[in-house]
Amino acid sequence: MVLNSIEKLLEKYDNAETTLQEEAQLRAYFASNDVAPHLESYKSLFVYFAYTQQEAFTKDVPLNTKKKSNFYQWISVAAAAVIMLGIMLPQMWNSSKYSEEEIEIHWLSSIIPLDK
Amino acid sequence: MTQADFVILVMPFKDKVFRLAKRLLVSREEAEDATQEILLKLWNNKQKISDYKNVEAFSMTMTKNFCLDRLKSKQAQNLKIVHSNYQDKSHSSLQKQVEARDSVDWVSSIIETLPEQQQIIVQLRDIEQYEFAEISKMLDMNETAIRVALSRARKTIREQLIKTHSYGIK
Repeated sequence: MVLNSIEKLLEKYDNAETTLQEEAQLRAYFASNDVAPHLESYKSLFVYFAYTQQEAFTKDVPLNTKKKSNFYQWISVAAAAVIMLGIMLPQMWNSSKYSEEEIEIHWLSSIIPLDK
Repeated sequence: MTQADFVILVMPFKDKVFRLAKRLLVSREEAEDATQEILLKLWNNKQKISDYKNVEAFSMTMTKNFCLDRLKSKQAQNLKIVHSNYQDKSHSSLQKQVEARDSVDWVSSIIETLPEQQQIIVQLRDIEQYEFAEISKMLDMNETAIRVALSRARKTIREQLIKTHSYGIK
């Protein structure tokens, strides 16, 4: 009885005329352990479908990449500024190593010759 | 649309996207990359998403096109996608697992030999269980053509299976 209807369904299945409900019936039949020997070759097909259905996508998707990359861009700008300041500031201090007094003496000495 | 909304929207079909990608690209890594790329594309177009009537169908179409392009460009470069998905998940009893893996390997290698379009249709109908109407929207084909291709694919698969099966018995 059951076998008869399954065979009919399989024929329809091969012609792609089954509905989703009928395909679910087939699936259920082949998932059970008492499959008629001459239909055994179909079994692996339906087992495969059931098996493959469970495969899942497990990787994360970095949705906020845009924001992140923006953030890193600004970080790099800031880092460049810090490095530039780090190089320039000590040089600026070095260049004004002379105190105001020394500069004044230098300036005065250019006007008034010291060795009279 | 916030990130949480997007995740909720995408949740029901992201695995389907992945499985379709894997059907076409075979390699697990390639399929993962493709899925990532597709979800990112959706995310970047999130303003327009509400205009699409059916985001899921739209995504499946996008996946199909993306993977076919990918295959074409690989072919053009004379590269073949190799896969290295050999590890398996250990659950269920060993006996069952061995049996299942055997038939799984058989069937998947048979499906791999089908033309791409038939592979896609088998994937959408037999694995994801979409209605013919949905598939026809996704693939932009009429239902009769889909049924013909599906019937052809199913018959080929079964012939091959019977061959391997009877070979195993003899």
